Amino acid sequence: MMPPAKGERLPEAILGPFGAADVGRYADVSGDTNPIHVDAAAARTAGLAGPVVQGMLVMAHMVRIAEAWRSDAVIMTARALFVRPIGMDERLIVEGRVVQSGEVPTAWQCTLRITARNEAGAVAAIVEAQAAAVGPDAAAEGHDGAIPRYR
Amino acid sequence: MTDSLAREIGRFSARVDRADVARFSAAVGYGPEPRSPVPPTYPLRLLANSPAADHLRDLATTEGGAPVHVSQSFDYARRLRIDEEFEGRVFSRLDGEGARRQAILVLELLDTDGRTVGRFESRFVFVRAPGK
Repeated sequence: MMPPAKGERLPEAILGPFGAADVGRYADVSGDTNPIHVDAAAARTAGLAGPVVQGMLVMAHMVRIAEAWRSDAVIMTARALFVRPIGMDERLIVEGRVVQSGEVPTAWQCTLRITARNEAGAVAAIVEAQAAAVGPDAAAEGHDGAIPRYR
Repeated sequence: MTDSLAREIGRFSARVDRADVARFSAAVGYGPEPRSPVPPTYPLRLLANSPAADHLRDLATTEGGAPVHVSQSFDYARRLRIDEEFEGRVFSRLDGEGARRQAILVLELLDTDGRTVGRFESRFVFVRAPGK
């Protein structure tokens, strides 16, 4: 596959709305027991209108979307900003693009900026991630990224 | 850890469990089959059974508000695989004052040979309802 070009866009994806079952399930598998995600009274005590979706649940999905973009790449580094609380009724539109791309002696690397907005256009989360190329054979067998290491 | 102001709050050993990864993977949209390397945010799940969990609860009390996660990063030297054993080291520091006050928790993962596998930084603010 060709290296990604600066400006290339990831396919748009829709996340959510995450219901109480989704949030409860993630709380269970992640061990995130913060009551603001599952308890309305606790959420109000924290000044929120109601329980909110875990930022890490949204980040995990956003990184998964980035990983699905190219079968010959692995995400090694990412930073997420949880811009505002995400309510249970919000549907998020996830868009991403390549903001930097470059080739190194054996492969390529690029930086992705991925944004999740609600249907009103308000940004909920931003992820900036670095993807590094692995060979197609390595990608097929689930490469751990140990060989390509870029900064 | 490069930040000399941070305090180590504990260490733990863990193994990447196949069934646990399968549950996590399914909950974040990867499908029912466990993935290897595991989803990149999976290691943060291991913090739930580490000294970090009690530490964050203690901070919520001393800081007087519910912790709200405002940013998260990960940086891998290589991705984690199912059945791999590793050591986790958790560091903490508080930064800023007033509304800018943040707790910063850092998880470092090392393999059984002591090599760094990855570093994860979580930032929290502490919030409470107006007037409380």
